[in-house]
Amino acid sequence: MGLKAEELLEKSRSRVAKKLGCSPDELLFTSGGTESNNTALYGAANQLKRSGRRIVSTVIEHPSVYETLSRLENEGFEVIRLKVNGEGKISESDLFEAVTQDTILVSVMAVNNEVGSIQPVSAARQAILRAHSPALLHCDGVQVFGKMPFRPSDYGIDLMSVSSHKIHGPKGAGALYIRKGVKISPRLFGGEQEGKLRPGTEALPAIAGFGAAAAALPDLKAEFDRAKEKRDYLVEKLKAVGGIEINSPADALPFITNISVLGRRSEPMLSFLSENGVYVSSGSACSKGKKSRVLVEMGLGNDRLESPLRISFSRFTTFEEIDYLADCIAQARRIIRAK
Amino acid sequence: MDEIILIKNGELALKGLNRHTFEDMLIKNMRQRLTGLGHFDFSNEQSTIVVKPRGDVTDMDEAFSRLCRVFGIAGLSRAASVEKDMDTILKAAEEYLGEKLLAARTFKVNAKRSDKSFPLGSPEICSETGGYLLSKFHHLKVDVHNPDIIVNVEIRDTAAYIHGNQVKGAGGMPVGSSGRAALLISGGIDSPVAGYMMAKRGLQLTGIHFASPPYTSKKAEQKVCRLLEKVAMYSGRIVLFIVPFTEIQEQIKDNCPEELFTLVMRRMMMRIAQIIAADQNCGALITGESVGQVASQTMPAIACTEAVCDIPVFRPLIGMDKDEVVAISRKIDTFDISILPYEDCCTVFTPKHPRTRPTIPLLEKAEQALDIEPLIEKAVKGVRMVIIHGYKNDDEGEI
Repeated sequence: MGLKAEELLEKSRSRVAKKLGCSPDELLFTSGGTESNNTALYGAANQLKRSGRRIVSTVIEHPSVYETLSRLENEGFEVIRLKVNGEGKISESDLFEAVTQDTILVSVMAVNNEVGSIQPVSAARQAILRAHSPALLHCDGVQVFGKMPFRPSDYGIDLMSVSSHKIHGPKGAGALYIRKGVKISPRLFGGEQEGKLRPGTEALPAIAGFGAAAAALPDLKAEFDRAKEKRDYLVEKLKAVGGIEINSPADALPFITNISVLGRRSEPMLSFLSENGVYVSSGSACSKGKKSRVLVEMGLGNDRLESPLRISFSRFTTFEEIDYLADCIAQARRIIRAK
Repeated sequence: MDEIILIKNGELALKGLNRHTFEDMLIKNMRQRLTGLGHFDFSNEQSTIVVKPRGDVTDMDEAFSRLCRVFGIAGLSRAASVEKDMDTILKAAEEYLGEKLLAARTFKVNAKRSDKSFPLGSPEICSETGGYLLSKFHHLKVDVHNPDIIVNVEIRDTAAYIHGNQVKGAGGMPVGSSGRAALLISGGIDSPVAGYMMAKRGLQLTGIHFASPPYTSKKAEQKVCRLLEKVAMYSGRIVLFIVPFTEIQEQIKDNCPEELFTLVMRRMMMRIAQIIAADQNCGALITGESVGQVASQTMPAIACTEAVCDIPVFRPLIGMDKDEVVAISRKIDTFDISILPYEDCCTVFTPKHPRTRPTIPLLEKAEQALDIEPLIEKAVKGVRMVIIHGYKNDDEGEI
């Protein structure tokens, strides 16, 4: 039985590795994106702390990166968070300027989770090379994995986090890509599993599901193009509704579209939409008075900050569903009083 | 040796000829609260109610903790019930209170003999029990003034009871003994505390919640249910009425001056609450208002809300500071739920500058723009009822 389990574990590892274009022994299974990000950042910072204290990242990272870096900041590291422009993107020149010789870690997400903006990850590698810095390059790849062709080795990435449930796998599994030859310090201790970096009995049911979901991924290039058509269709429909601003840049990952329905706060919109079977989010944790950090950093006005909706597609989303979504948003706009 | 729970009732002893009615009510409340834990027998023995579990009761810890939240109980203790024989009593005291005696440094023995046919008198029972325990627990010392633990030995007609320190009960009066009142509950910190306080004074609670979908979400409604579940651990079952309030709020927003939104809304709430109260035999309304807390709770504002009420409105928090209210909400475990950030009906269309010194004529004038009667009638017609229990059995639900 143990052998079978071992076999299934390694089969799942190969399946996920294949989609990342890496070798199976470069993959570490975790409980999900949050753990992968924590493991990578803490592990890299501690591994390299003798070479420097400087970490370069962005202001729009997912909380599991953003807050881990804040923690490292409290522990004495210097964290530089690069600003984004109105399209939610950091600039290459800022990267070149920020990465210095004593920088030990650069963490840039591939695709932002709230607006879908694609970040210049390969420029981060160039910046590290140009500065002759020992820095490791970490990339939060949770949003990009399974959505468009993206091999960490093509971008010179050392560490990349991915998650199972973002590709229709079960919740509770994720992986961290660690390029061959890269060493990070462990944070958990007490077992031989996963190269001693993630000790503890593996959550095989979730991992096997992750592997199966990875194996079931279609041709990503074709899927990406189809998603673009759907996104363009959605944008057109929303323009017809009127009173809606698109917060995502035109060249965003087409699976994520962030909009603001002007004058209609997110909370009633979400509650109306969910009553009608449409499940979108307001982007950040939906709470009174709390504005999305990402949208604030993009410099959006108050009217847009109060009313964001984050619409995400899967590869199974249909044009009919988009019609229905647009109808529901139009209806909600009519019914809900402007504040 | 059987384990039982002894209940000392509080203010009930004061109630003269009504005492039996109060006691019966208390027993009924306790019985209801223990539902799902097996069968219990209740008997009334000389100002103490004895709760005896039958064979199917397995979780006495849970039973005891539930009874700690029943109003009308001044103090309660878990006790061993044994045969009235001195040797048996001594062994039982050593065994049943052993762990507590090990943890204590000083003790004393209290004896009470209501069965006068028992061969030893109270002083003899004390000295014999004390001597025996000293011989078994060498670290113990007697301290009659301030002991860590009091070993109580009670010789009753049917059995001897042995118990340690008494635990303070929830106090107050049995729920139902003062009648029934309707609690207006929004989801904030105050209203659950107000409900708890009035239930403590013997009022049975009916809940009224105003929901304004889609401005307020299902989650906000769930939050109110979760809050009432906590309150129901003290008050017993609560019937909650959820009033559809969207149309009224929109009408107010569209037709009334902004600075009066909140007060017109509160007056509408009071009108609707009274209709439900009358239907449910509630003699009063309960709110969580406190003078000066917010613009709608200044004295002139409360006068304006009060003006539309024909029955008493109980405001148990009226003179309390916020931190005092928070302390109670932490005690009854509602605080962490109350601070969940969902929009509730009171915050949907909050005016930027509400009027803090409104007058009744001003409000009456503002309300002329509303078609009050039909709006209220429609809201009352759309009321939904949910029954809230304080305790759920583990095997209920889907998983």
